[in-house]
Amino acid sequence: MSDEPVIQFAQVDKVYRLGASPSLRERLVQWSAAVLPRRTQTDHSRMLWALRDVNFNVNPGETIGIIGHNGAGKTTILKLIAGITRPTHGRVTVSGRVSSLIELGAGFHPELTGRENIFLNGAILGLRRHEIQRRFDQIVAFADLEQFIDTPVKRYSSGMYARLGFAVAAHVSPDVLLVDEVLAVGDAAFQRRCHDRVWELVHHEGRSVIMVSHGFGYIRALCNRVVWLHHGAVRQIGAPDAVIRAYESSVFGATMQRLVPEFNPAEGQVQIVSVTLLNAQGDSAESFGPCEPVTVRIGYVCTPGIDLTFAVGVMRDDTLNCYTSFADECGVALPLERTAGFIEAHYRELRLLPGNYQMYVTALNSSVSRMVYTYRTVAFHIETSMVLDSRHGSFYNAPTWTIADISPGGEA
Amino acid sequence: MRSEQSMMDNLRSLWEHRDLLWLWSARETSVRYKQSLLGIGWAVLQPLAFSLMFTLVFSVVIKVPTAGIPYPVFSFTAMLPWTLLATSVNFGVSSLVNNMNLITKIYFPREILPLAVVATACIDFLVAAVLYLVMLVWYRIPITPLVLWLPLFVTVQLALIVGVVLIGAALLVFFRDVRFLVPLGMQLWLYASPVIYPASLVPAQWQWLYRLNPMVGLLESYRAVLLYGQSPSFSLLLPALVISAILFFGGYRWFKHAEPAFADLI
Repeated sequence: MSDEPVIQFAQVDKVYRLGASPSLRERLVQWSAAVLPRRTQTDHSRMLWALRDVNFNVNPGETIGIIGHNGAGKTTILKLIAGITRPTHGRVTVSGRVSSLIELGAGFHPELTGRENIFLNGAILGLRRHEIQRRFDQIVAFADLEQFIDTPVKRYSSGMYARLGFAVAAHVSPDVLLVDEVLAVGDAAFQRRCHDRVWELVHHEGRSVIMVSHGFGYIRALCNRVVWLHHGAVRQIGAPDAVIRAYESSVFGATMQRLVPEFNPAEGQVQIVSVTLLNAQGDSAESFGPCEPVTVRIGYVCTPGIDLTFAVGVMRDDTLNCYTSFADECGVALPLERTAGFIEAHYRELRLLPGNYQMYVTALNSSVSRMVYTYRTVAFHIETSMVLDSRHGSFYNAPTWTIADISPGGEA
Repeated sequence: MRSEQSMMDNLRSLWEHRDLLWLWSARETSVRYKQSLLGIGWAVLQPLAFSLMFTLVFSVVIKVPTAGIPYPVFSFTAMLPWTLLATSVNFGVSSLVNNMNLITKIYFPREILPLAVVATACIDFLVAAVLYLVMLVWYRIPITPLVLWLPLFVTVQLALIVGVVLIGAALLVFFRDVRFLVPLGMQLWLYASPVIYPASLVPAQWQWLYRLNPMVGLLESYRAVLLYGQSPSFSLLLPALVISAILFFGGYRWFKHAEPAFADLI
C-alpha cells in the first residue's frame, strides 16, 4: 500500500438548496432566463452551506473522528466520501473501496431475511456472491444473530439491525470504513466487539476509518486525529485530546444556558472568586479515582441582601448532566447579611467511570425565580488502574460481593 | 476519483455490481408477484386481455386489414414487445424516487434500480412468449428460420427501453410532473405505433415522420419474420436501430451526468 492519502478534501464547499426542488414551471422560467444575457442571481437566503472550504487528508491506517454540533456538516462529509453526493465546489478524491454505515439498516430490505440481506448489502457494497459466501459465517457470528438469520429483518430490534449492519460493513474488506452515530445502539458487549474490530481494521489491515460520534470516549480511544467542524467549516484538526477539550469548552457556555433557564448573569451582584477541588487529604487536585471523596470549595463575594444559593454538579465530556445538587434544597441557607466567604460541597464518593468531566458551580437566587447570577466550571478527570469501560455502564457503582454458602435446609 | 468519471469507469463499476443487479431484479420480481393473487399469471393475462379487447373492436366492429393473418395473433405479436416496453417504463420511471432511502444513504451505481425493473419486465416477456408459441401452433402459422432475426430485434428494443427508462427515471427525480406525463405519453406512443393496426395504414407522405418512432420499425419487423415469413425491411429497421442507439448511449451518459444530484434532490 502506498503512502498516498486515501481521502483528500481540497477546498470543498457543499451547498444545499433549502425547500422543495424546483417544479417544472420554475425550471422553465429559469431556462428562459438563461437564454437572455447571463445574470448571476442566486437566492442566497435559500442556500444552506453545509460545508465551507474544507481541506484535509486521510492517510492509510488512520482513524479520524469528526465532532461538532448538530448540523455542523459531519454527515455531509461522510456522504461525500461515500460518493452519495458530490461537492458543489472543490474536490473530494477517494481511492479504494468505501464501506459505509451512515444510517441504521440503510441497504436492508425489511421483508427479506437476515441471510438475504447480508447478500443484498454485500452486493450494494460491491462484493461478489462468492466473496460474501466466504465471509458469511464470520458476519453472522460477529453480529451474534445465528438464531435469527432466517427471520425477516423487519422483526429485528434496533440493536440487531445495528449489529447486522456493522458486521457486514466491517467484513467486506473496505479500504475506508465510514461509521456514523449508529454504534451507540448496540449493547456494551457489542460495542466492545465493534471497538476491537475497528482496531483490527486499522492496526492489522491498514484500513482507514472515519467516525462521527457524540460519545467522545470512543473517539478518544480509537482515533489518532480529530476534525472539529463548526457550521460547516473546520475549526480545528489535531490530536483527539486537544481538539475535544477545545470543543468542550466552547460547547460548555451554550450548554449552561440550556440547563439553567432564564440565564441572566447579573454581574456585580455575585462573583465566584474561586472553585477548588480537594481530595481526601485536603489537597487541591484535578484527578481522582472512581470512588474517591471530593470536596468542592467555592469562594464568593456578593452584595448584601440577596437571597443567594449555590448549585454544584458534574457534567461528563459529552455534556451528560451526571448529577446536580442545590444547597438550599439540601437545607443549607446562606445568611442574607453574609457578603463574602466559602461554601463547600462534600461528595463521599464520585462514583464516576474514567473520563473527563467538568465540575460546574452556579450561583443563583434561592427564590422561585431561580435567576442565575453567574457560574464557573473546573475540569477534572477520573483515572484508575482498574479496567473500567462502557461495559460497566455510565457510572461506577460497585456493590459488595459476597459468596453465600448453601445453608442447611435452604434451596439446593 | 469521484469528480469526473468516464464511460469506462461507469461500466466497470456497473460490472462490479452485477450481483446487485441480479439480486435486486429477483427481489423486484418476487415483491411484484408475491402480493398479487394471480402472481406471474398477470404477465400473460395483461397482454392477452388487451389483444382480446382489440380483437373485438378491430376485427368485429371495425375491420383492420391484416393481410390474411387472424387478428388475435396479428395484434398479440406486437402486444408482447409493446407490453415489455410499457411495463418497463411504467415501473422503471419511479424506481429511483421509490428507493430514496437507499439513494440518500448508500452509494451504488444508481442505474441498477431502473435496470432491475427492465430485467423483471423481461421475465414477464419470456413467460408471455411461451403462450405466444402456443398461439402460433394453434393458428398453424409456420415457424421459419427467419426467427433467427429475433435476438437482434430484442436487443435493439432493450437498448431503446433502457434509454427511455433511464431518462424518465432521472427526470422524475428533478420534476415530479413526469409522473403524470408517463401514462399520457405511453397512451400516445401506443397509438403512434403499429400495435393494433399495420404500419401500412399510415399515409405514404407521413411515413418518414412515422418511422422516427423506433417502435414502428421494431414491431413491423417482428411481424414480418414471425407472421409473414419475410425478411425485415431495412428502411423500417434502420431508423429504429439508429434512434434506439442514440437514446441508449445518450440516455446512459446523461443519467450518469445527473446521478450526483439525485441524493440532494430526492
